[in-house]
Amino acid sequence: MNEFLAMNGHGIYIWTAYGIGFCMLLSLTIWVNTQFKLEKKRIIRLVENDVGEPE
Amino acid sequence: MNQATFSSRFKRWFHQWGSPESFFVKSRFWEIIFGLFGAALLLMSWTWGLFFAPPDYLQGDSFRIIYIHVPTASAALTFYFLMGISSAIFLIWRMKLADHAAASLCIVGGTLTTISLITGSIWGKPTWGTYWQWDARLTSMLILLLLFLGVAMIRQVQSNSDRIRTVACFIAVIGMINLPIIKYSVEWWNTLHQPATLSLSEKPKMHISMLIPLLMGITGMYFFSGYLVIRQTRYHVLKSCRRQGWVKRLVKNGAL
Repeated sequence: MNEFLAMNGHGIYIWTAYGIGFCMLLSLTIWVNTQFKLEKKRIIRLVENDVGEPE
Repeated sequence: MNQATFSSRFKRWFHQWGSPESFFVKSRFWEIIFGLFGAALLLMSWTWGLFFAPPDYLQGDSFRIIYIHVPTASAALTFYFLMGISSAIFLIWRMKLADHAAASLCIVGGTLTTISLITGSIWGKPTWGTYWQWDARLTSMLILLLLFLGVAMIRQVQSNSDRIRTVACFIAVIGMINLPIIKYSVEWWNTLHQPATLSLSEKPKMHISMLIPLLMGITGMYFFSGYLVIRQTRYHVLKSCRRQGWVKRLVKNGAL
Protein backbone atom coordinates (compact mmCIF):
# COMPACT_ATOMS: atom_id res chain seq x y z
CA MET A 1 0.00 0.00 0.00
CA ASN A 2 2.75 2.43 0.98
CA GLU A 3 4.67 1.55 -2.17
CA PHE A 4 1.60 2.26 -4.25
CA LEU A 5 1.03 5.64 -2.57
CA ALA A 6 4.71 6.54 -2.96
CA MET A 7 4.65 5.74 -6.71
CA ASN A 8 8.44 5.48 -6.88
CA GLY A 9 8.92 8.88 -5.27
CA HIS A 10 6.40 10.66 -7.49
CA GLY A 11 3.39 10.04 -5.23
CA ILE A 12 3.47 13.48 -3.62
CA TYR A 13 3.16 15.16 -7.05
CA ILE A 14 0.52 12.78 -8.38
CA TRP A 15 -1.77 12.84 -5.33
CA THR A 16 -1.43 16.61 -4.91
CA ALA A 17 -2.35 17.20 -8.57
CA TYR A 18 -5.35 14.85 -8.42
CA GLY A 19 -6.39 16.17 -4.99
CA ILE A 20 -6.40 19.81 -6.08
CA GLY A 21 -8.08 19.04 -9.43
CA PHE A 22 -10.77 16.88 -7.85
CA CYS A 23 -11.50 19.38 -5.06
CA MET A 24 -11.79 22.27 -7.53
CA LEU A 25 -14.15 20.31 -9.79
CA LEU A 26 -16.22 19.23 -6.79
CA SER A 27 -16.39 22.80 -5.43
CA LEU A 28 -17.51 24.12 -8.83
CA THR A 29 -20.18 21.40 -9.06
CA ILE A 30 -21.50 22.16 -5.57
CA TRP A 31 -21.49 25.93 -6.24
CA VAL A 32 -23.33 25.59 -9.57
CA ASN A 33 -25.95 23.25 -8.07
CA THR A 34 -26.48 25.32 -4.91
CA GLN A 35 -26.97 28.50 -6.93
CA PHE A 36 -29.52 26.81 -9.17
CA LYS A 37 -31.45 25.23 -6.29
CA LEU A 38 -31.56 28.49 -4.27
CA GLU A 39 -32.92 30.40 -7.27
CA LYS A 40 -35.53 27.70 -7.85
CA LYS A 41 -36.61 27.79 -4.19
CA ARG A 42 -36.82 31.57 -4.27
CA ILE A 43 -39.06 31.63 -7.34
CA ILE A 44 -41.29 28.82 -6.01
CA ARG A 45 -41.73 30.70 -2.69
CA LEU A 46 -42.58 33.95 -4.45
CA VAL A 47 -45.10 32.35 -6.80
CA GLU A 48 -46.75 30.14 -4.13
CA ASN A 49 -47.10 33.02 -1.66
CA ASP A 50 -48.56 35.04 -4.50
CA VAL A 51 -46.50 38.07 -3.56
CA GLY A 52 -47.14 39.38 -7.05
CA GLU A 53 -44.55 39.67 -9.76
CA PRO A 54 -41.15 38.57 -8.55
CA GLU A 55 -38.70 41.48 -8.81
CA MET B 1 -32.50 16.12 -48.14
CA ASN B 2 -31.92 19.17 -50.36
CA GLN B 3 -30.07 22.25 -49.15
CA ALA B 4 -33.19 24.44 -48.74
CA THR B 5 -34.91 21.86 -46.51
CA PHE B 6 -31.77 21.43 -44.43
CA SER B 7 -31.38 25.19 -44.09
CA SER B 8 -35.01 25.71 -42.97
CA ARG B 9 -34.77 22.80 -40.52
CA PHE B 10 -31.55 24.20 -39.07
CA LYS B 11 -33.13 27.65 -38.69
CA ARG B 12 -36.15 26.15 -36.94
CA TRP B 13 -33.90 24.09 -34.62
CA PHE B 14 -31.73 27.14 -33.90
CA HIS B 15 -34.73 29.34 -33.04
CA GLN B 16 -36.33 26.63 -30.89
CA TRP B 17 -33.15 26.19 -28.82
CA GLY B 18 -32.60 29.95 -28.79
CA SER B 19 -35.83 30.52 -26.88
CA PRO B 20 -35.11 30.62 -23.11
CA GLU B 21 -38.28 28.68 -22.27
CA SER B 22 -37.60 25.95 -24.81
CA PHE B 23 -33.95 25.71 -23.72
CA PHE B 24 -34.86 25.51 -20.04
CA VAL B 25 -37.35 22.67 -20.57
CA LYS B 26 -35.45 20.67 -23.20
CA SER B 27 -31.99 20.92 -21.63
CA ARG B 28 -33.11 19.21 -18.42
CA PHE B 29 -32.86 15.75 -20.00
CA TRP B 30 -29.46 16.45 -21.61
CA GLU B 31 -28.09 17.88 -18.40
CA ILE B 32 -28.69 14.58 -16.58
CA ILE B 33 -27.23 12.49 -19.43
CA PHE B 34 -24.11 14.70 -19.71
CA GLY B 35 -23.56 14.70 -15.94
CA LEU B 36 -23.88 10.94 -15.42
CA PHE B 37 -21.96 9.94 -18.57
CA GLY B 38 -19.18 12.46 -17.87
CA ALA B 39 -18.76 11.48 -14.21
CA ALA B 40 -18.68 7.75 -15.08
CA LEU B 41 -16.06 8.25 -17.82
CA LEU B 42 -13.89 10.44 -15.58
CA LEU B 43 -14.04 7.91 -12.76
CA MET B 44 -13.07 5.07 -15.13
CA SER B 45 -10.26 7.12 -16.71
CA TRP B 46 -8.71 8.15 -13.38
CA THR B 47 -9.00 4.62 -11.92
CA TRP B 48 -7.41 3.10 -15.03
CA GLY B 49 -4.75 5.82 -15.22
CA LEU B 50 -3.75 5.64 -11.54
CA PHE B 51 -4.06 1.90 -10.87
CA PHE B 52 -3.69 -0.03 -14.13
CA ALA B 53 -1.77 1.97 -16.79
CA PRO B 54 1.93 1.04 -16.98
CA PRO B 55 4.53 3.67 -15.95
CA ASP B 56 6.16 5.70 -18.72
CA TYR B 57 9.65 4.49 -19.77
CA LEU B 58 11.12 7.99 -19.37
CA GLN B 59 8.97 9.87 -16.83
CA GLY B 60 8.04 6.92 -14.63
CA ASP B 61 4.86 7.26 -12.58
CA SER B 62 4.67 11.07 -12.74
CA PHE B 63 3.22 10.77 -16.26
CA ARG B 64 -0.11 9.69 -14.62
CA ILE B 65 -0.87 13.40 -14.07
CA ILE B 66 -1.64 13.44 -17.82
CA TYR B 67 -5.11 11.98 -17.10
CA ILE B 68 -6.19 15.15 -15.29
CA HIS B 69 -3.94 17.73 -16.97
CA VAL B 70 -4.67 17.08 -20.67
CA PRO B 71 -8.50 16.70 -20.35
CA THR B 72 -8.80 19.98 -18.39
CA ALA B 73 -6.47 21.87 -20.76
CA SER B 74 -8.29 20.57 -23.84
CA ALA B 75 -11.74 21.42 -22.43
CA ALA B 76 -10.54 24.87 -21.28
CA LEU B 77 -9.40 25.77 -24.82
CA THR B 78 -12.61 24.47 -26.40
CA PHE B 79 -14.73 26.35 -23.85
CA TYR B 80 -12.94 29.61 -24.58
CA PHE B 81 -13.62 29.05 -28.29
CA LEU B 82 -17.31 28.38 -27.53
CA MET B 83 -17.44 31.46 -25.27
CA GLY B 84 -16.07 33.54 -28.15
CA ILE B 85 -18.68 32.13 -30.56
CA SER B 86 -21.53 32.71 -28.05
CA SER B 87 -20.29 36.24 -27.44
CA ALA B 88 -20.18 36.92 -31.19
CA ILE B 89 -23.77 35.61 -31.54
CA PHE B 90 -24.85 37.97 -28.74
CA LEU B 91 -23.05 40.93 -30.32
CA ILE B 92 -24.55 40.28 -33.77
CA TRP B 93 -28.09 39.06 -33.02
CA ARG B 94 -28.48 40.21 -29.36
CA MET B 95 -29.64 36.70 -28.44
CA LYS B 96 -29.85 36.66 -24.64
CA LEU B 97 -29.38 32.91 -24.36
CA ALA B 98 -25.99 33.26 -26.10
CA ASP B 99 -24.95 35.78 -23.44
CA HIS B 100 -26.08 33.43 -20.65
CA ALA B 101 -24.09 30.60 -22.26
CA ALA B 102 -21.01 32.85 -22.54
CA ALA B 103 -21.27 33.76 -18.83
CA SER B 104 -21.52 30.07 -17.87
CA LEU B 105 -18.67 29.01 -20.18
CA CYS B 106 -16.51 31.73 -18.61
CA ILE B 107 -16.87 30.36 -15.06
CA VAL B 108 -16.43 26.70 -15.99
CA GLY B 109 -13.62 27.40 -18.51
CA GLY B 110 -11.78 29.59 -15.99
CA THR B 111 -11.85 26.80 -13.39
CA LEU B 112 -10.62 24.23 -15.93
CA THR B 113 -7.76 26.53 -16.97
CA THR B 114 -6.76 26.96 -13.31
CA ILE B 115 -6.76 23.17 -12.76
CA SER B 116 -4.75 22.68 -15.94
CA LEU B 117 -2.13 25.27 -14.90
CA ILE B 118 -1.82 23.90 -11.34
CA THR B 119 -1.57 20.24 -12.39
CA GLY B 120 0.85 21.15 -15.20
CA SER B 121 3.00 23.08 -12.78
CA ILE B 122 3.08 20.16 -10.32
CA TRP B 123 3.95 17.79 -13.18
CA GLY B 124 6.75 20.17 -14.21
CA LYS B 125 8.71 19.71 -10.97
CA PRO B 126 9.62 15.98 -11.35
CA THR B 127 9.87 16.27 -15.17
CA TRP B 128 11.68 19.57 -15.79
CA GLY B 129 12.98 20.30 -12.27
CA THR B 130 10.92 23.48 -11.97
CA TYR B 131 7.32 24.40 -11.20
CA TRP B 132 7.24 27.30 -13.63
CA GLN B 133 9.07 28.54 -16.68
CA TRP B 134 8.11 31.57 -18.76
CA ASP B 135 7.95 29.54 -21.96
CA ALA B 136 5.45 30.15 -24.76
CA ARG B 137 2.90 27.43 -23.88
CA LEU B 138 2.79 28.17 -20.14
CA THR B 139 2.64 31.92 -20.61
CA SER B 140 -0.09 31.76 -23.27
CA MET B 141 -2.15 29.47 -20.97
CA LEU B 142 -1.69 32.00 -18.16
CA ILE B 143 -2.97 34.72 -20.54
CA LEU B 144 -6.01 32.49 -21.22
CA LEU B 145 -6.70 32.35 -17.47
CA LEU B 146 -6.35 36.14 -17.23
CA LEU B 147 -8.82 36.52 -20.13
CA PHE B 148 -11.34 34.24 -18.40
CA LEU B 149 -10.85 36.16 -15.12
CA GLY B 150 -11.11 39.52 -16.87
CA VAL B 151 -14.38 38.64 -18.60
CA ALA B 152 -15.79 37.19 -15.33
CA MET B 153 -14.81 40.31 -13.38
CA ILE B 154 -16.37 42.65 -15.94
CA ARG B 155 -19.60 40.63 -15.74
CA GLN B 156 -19.54 40.92 -11.94
CA VAL B 157 -19.53 44.74 -12.09
CA GLN B 158 -23.18 44.92 -13.11
CA SER B 159 -24.58 41.73 -14.53
CA ASN B 160 -27.87 43.32 -15.68
CA SER B 161 -26.29 46.11 -17.70
CA ASP B 162 -26.48 45.61 -21.44
CA ARG B 163 -23.41 47.80 -21.91
CA ILE B 164 -21.33 45.67 -19.50
CA ARG B 165 -22.44 42.48 -21.30
CA THR B 166 -21.43 43.99 -24.62
CA VAL B 167 -17.98 44.93 -23.30
CA ALA B 168 -17.49 41.42 -21.79
CA CYS B 169 -18.53 39.76 -25.06
CA PHE B 170 -16.29 42.07 -27.09
CA ILE B 171 -13.24 41.20 -24.95
CA ALA B 172 -14.09 37.48 -25.20
CA VAL B 173 -14.15 37.72 -29.02
CA ILE B 174 -10.87 39.70 -29.18
CA GLY B 175 -9.25 37.17 -26.81
CA MET B 176 -9.81 34.37 -29.34
CA ILE B 177 -6.56 35.54 -30.97
CA ASN B 178 -4.80 33.75 -28.09
CA LEU B 179 -6.19 30.31 -29.07
CA PRO B 180 -4.01 29.62 -32.15
CA ILE B 181 -1.04 31.03 -30.20
CA ILE B 182 -1.59 28.42 -27.45
CA LYS B 183 -2.15 25.63 -29.97
CA TYR B 184 0.95 26.33 -32.09
CA SER B 185 3.23 27.76 -29.36
CA VAL B 186 5.08 24.44 -29.08
CA GLU B 187 5.80 24.50 -32.83
CA TRP B 188 6.54 28.19 -33.34
CA TRP B 189 8.97 28.53 -30.42
CA ASN B 190 11.47 26.29 -28.63
CA THR B 191 9.55 25.43 -25.49
CA LEU B 192 10.12 23.32 -22.42
CA HIS B 193 6.59 22.01 -22.89
CA GLN B 194 6.35 18.89 -25.03
CA PRO B 195 4.47 18.93 -28.39
CA ALA B 196 0.80 17.91 -28.49
CA THR B 197 0.15 14.43 -27.06
CA LEU B 198 -2.64 13.72 -29.54
CA SER B 199 -3.12 14.88 -33.09
CA LEU B 200 -5.94 14.27 -35.55
CA SER B 201 -3.51 13.97 -38.46
CA GLU B 202 -0.92 11.63 -36.90
CA LYS B 203 -0.92 8.14 -35.46
CA PRO B 204 -0.81 8.29 -31.62
CA LYS B 205 2.67 7.81 -30.15
CA MET B 206 1.28 6.40 -26.88
CA HIS B 207 0.73 2.73 -26.17
CA ILE B 208 -2.93 1.69 -26.36
CA SER B 209 -3.02 0.85 -22.62
CA MET B 210 -2.16 4.49 -21.86
CA LEU B 211 -4.14 5.99 -24.74
CA ILE B 212 -7.58 4.52 -23.95
CA PRO B 213 -7.86 6.02 -20.43
CA LEU B 214 -6.64 9.36 -21.82
CA LEU B 215 -9.35 9.41 -24.50
CA MET B 216 -11.92 8.40 -21.87
CA GLY B 217 -10.71 11.22 -19.63
CA ILE B 218 -10.93 13.83 -22.40
CA THR B 219 -14.44 12.70 -23.42
CA GLY B 220 -15.53 12.51 -19.78
CA MET B 221 -14.22 16.00 -19.01
CA TYR B 222 -16.09 17.45 -22.02
CA PHE B 223 -19.34 15.81 -20.95
CA PHE B 224 -19.03 16.62 -17.25
CA SER B 225 -18.08 20.25 -17.76
CA GLY B 226 -20.79 20.42 -20.45
CA TYR B 227 -23.22 19.40 -17.71
CA LEU B 228 -21.94 22.25 -15.50
CA VAL B 229 -22.30 24.74 -18.36
CA ILE B 230 -25.88 23.63 -19.09
CA ARG B 231 -26.78 23.79 -15.38
CA GLN B 232 -25.28 27.27 -14.98
CA THR B 233 -26.98 28.51 -18.18
CA ARG B 234 -30.32 27.21 -16.86
CA TYR B 235 -29.66 29.20 -13.66
CA HIS B 236 -29.03 32.39 -15.66
CA VAL B 237 -32.18 31.78 -17.74
CA LEU B 238 -34.26 31.28 -14.61
CA LYS B 239 -32.84 34.39 -12.97
CA SER B 240 -33.42 36.63 -15.97
CA CYS B 241 -36.91 35.26 -16.75
CA ARG B 242 -38.37 35.54 -13.20
CA ARG B 243 -41.04 37.98 -14.39
CA GLN B 244 -42.18 35.87 -17.30
CA GLY B 245 -45.37 33.84 -17.39
CA TRP B 246 -43.76 30.56 -18.44
CA VAL B 247 -41.73 30.41 -15.21
CA LYS B 248 -44.91 30.85 -13.14
CA ARG B 249 -46.62 28.21 -15.26
CA LEU B 250 -43.79 25.76 -14.59
CA VAL B 251 -44.02 26.45 -10.83
CA LYS B 252 -47.80 25.97 -10.81
CA ASN B 253 -47.50 22.72 -12.78
CA GLY B 254 -44.75 21.52 -10.42
CA ALA B 255 -42.35 21.20 -13.36
CA LEU B 256 -39.64 23.66 -12.30
